[in-house]
Amino acid sequence: MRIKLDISGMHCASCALLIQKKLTRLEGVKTAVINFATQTGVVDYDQDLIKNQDIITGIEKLGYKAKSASTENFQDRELESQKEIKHLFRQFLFSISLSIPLIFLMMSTDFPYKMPISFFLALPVQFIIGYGFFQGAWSALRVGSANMDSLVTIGTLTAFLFGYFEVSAFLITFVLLGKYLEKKALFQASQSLSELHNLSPKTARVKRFDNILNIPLSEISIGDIVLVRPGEAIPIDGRIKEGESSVNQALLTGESLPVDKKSGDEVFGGTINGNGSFEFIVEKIGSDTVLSKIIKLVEDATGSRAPIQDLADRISAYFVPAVLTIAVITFLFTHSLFFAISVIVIACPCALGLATPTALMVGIGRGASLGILIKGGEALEKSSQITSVVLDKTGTVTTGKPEITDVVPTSGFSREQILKIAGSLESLSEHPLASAFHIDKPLPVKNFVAHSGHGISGTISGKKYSLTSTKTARIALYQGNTQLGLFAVADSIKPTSKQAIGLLHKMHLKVYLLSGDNRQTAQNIGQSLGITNILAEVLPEGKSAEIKKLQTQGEKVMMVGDGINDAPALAVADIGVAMGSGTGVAIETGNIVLLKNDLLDLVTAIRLSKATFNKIKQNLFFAMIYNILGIPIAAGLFSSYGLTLRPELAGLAMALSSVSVVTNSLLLKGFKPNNI
Amino acid sequence: MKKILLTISGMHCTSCSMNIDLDLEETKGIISSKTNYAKSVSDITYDPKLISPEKIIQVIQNTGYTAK
Repeated sequence: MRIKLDISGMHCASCALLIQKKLTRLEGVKTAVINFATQTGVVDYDQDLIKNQDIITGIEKLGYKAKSASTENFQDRELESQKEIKHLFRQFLFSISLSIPLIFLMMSTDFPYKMPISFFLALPVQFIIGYGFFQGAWSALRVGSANMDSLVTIGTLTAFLFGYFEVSAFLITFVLLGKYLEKKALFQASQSLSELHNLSPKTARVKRFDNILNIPLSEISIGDIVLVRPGEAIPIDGRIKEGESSVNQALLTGESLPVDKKSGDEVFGGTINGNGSFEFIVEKIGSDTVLSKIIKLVEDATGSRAPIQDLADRISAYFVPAVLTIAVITFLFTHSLFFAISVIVIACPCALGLATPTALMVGIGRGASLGILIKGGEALEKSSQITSVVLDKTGTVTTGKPEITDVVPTSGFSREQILKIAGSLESLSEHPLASAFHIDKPLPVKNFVAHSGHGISGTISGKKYSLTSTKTARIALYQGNTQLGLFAVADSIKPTSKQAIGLLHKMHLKVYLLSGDNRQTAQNIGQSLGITNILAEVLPEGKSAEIKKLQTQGEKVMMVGDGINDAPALAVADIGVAMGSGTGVAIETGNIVLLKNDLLDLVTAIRLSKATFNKIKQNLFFAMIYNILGIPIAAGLFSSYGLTLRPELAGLAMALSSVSVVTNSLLLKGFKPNNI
Repeated sequence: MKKILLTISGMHCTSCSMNIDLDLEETKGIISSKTNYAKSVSDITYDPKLISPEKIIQVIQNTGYTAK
């Protein structure tokens, strides 16, 4: 049996891990997977040994709230959170409509039965609306910790018990308002993820027993035949069986030009079919599709932590006990319960707790919408601090597809003739350079031989030809022993590489070009790109050593490569960036993946990391300064100057501090990439 | 039976400390482990015949934190 759960109360990825561990230790639980980012869990269990209620109780014992997920898909989960937001708003309306009369009652001096009426107005606010806070405080208490709910509970209960009914009611009202605004902002922050989800269709038209059925994606299995009409989104990954079309794969590759697809070609879920129609055989389902992998990666990343958060968490852990102590001292010195409650309320560290995760969520989400996958807070923090960028040449600054740049006939043949002969010979070769010689109608070649490392030869119309590379990195065509011509072949530089490198220099980063070419060739390429730091003649296995060398010089190195040949170097670098090349992109490698094959996105990625990290620092600063200024005022330290803070206003201020932090994070949504 | 006090870094909240204790208590040779998040320390009682302090640090590292 499988149960899906909605879990609330998790603070970070370790909470998720803790629940996971505790659950797998329960008898009858086979596997448990808890996702912090989406606040959900999936548990497989044996229903003869354990009931799903026991699983929920197990989670609640740890101090979290769990309920069986009413829905499993993303859209419905969104509706759920919208419902929650509406519910909070109704609670707020309810409690403010009871709180406002309380204020008038308190201000009047001769209203009959003032206290009993106040009591009955505040009672539902304190105990019905406030119940949610009690629950939160209780679960925190059970694991021996305290949180915002604890402070709200202590503050409001104290006020209520001592007869300050309007204080307790207004405090709850304002905290609710803050919660409502915060949830609303968080919901907006999570929107970028839902954009990804919304891109793939929910159903597919499947051919089964000569019938065409419209069935949900979850019921499709590998081997099913799916029909795609013109203009439709392709629902899932597979291989074309019949028909042809062009497909816009921008979602996965960032390439806006459609790609031609014919029988035997791979197609991917979430991409958009052009004018043709075709049938394909499903090859990957569920979490194995490329789109699912990307979504998973982004979800995990947005729920991850940045090292800078440790500081905030450490402060929060000491904060609550420290604040309670200050509140008691305040009371002892001023004998004012008002001041004491104000201290408790204003000091809630919730803005501190929201500072990092909200910025990460928006920043990483914005990256994903630009085709830049940043795998978590640590990657983001490190990218914002790099000092050097090492660019692998082939496939990173160059297209990775060689082209003929020069043709020199040497024995009276025309350029066209020697290109035709060479192209025909190369049409049978599998050498990486062969694609440069591609011609449409090659001549028939007999006796073709590829001499490993020494070129190729073959017979065309009864004459024996051979192609070999020369010492000067050119390719020579021979008929027998007579040289017919020379070709220069080069891997051409991507159109945006030079601009991107210029921008990297402007950011005061040291840029290195890493290449297996000989020094002269590498230097020539470097020169045309404006790079002076050349690491030439580096064998594939020597790449990581070069990175290490830079690191020992004190550089924080970002290594950029295709993620296939240079995976070890990407792993050694402080930050490894894998450039995508089509949908075959190695999204598992590297700390950052650029889905588009464009170096300008690297600049965007670094800028986005810096912008997000700055946002985190701003948020932490705001949250801290707010508490540092707020506590002394609330404690009545400046009361002799007439500067005091009523508890309910302290509650409003606290709520607004969280809202301002989340709103500040949301500003990252407007981050502009370089190439627009 | 010996006692060791380790300083842990990398914990984010009380769940981390519980994660460390759970993993340590499953390790052979460890009699008890009490990790305090706020103080960033683990108070561990172990059997020196079965496990070494280096090994304990290794276990904590495998959980995802650094200890010394």
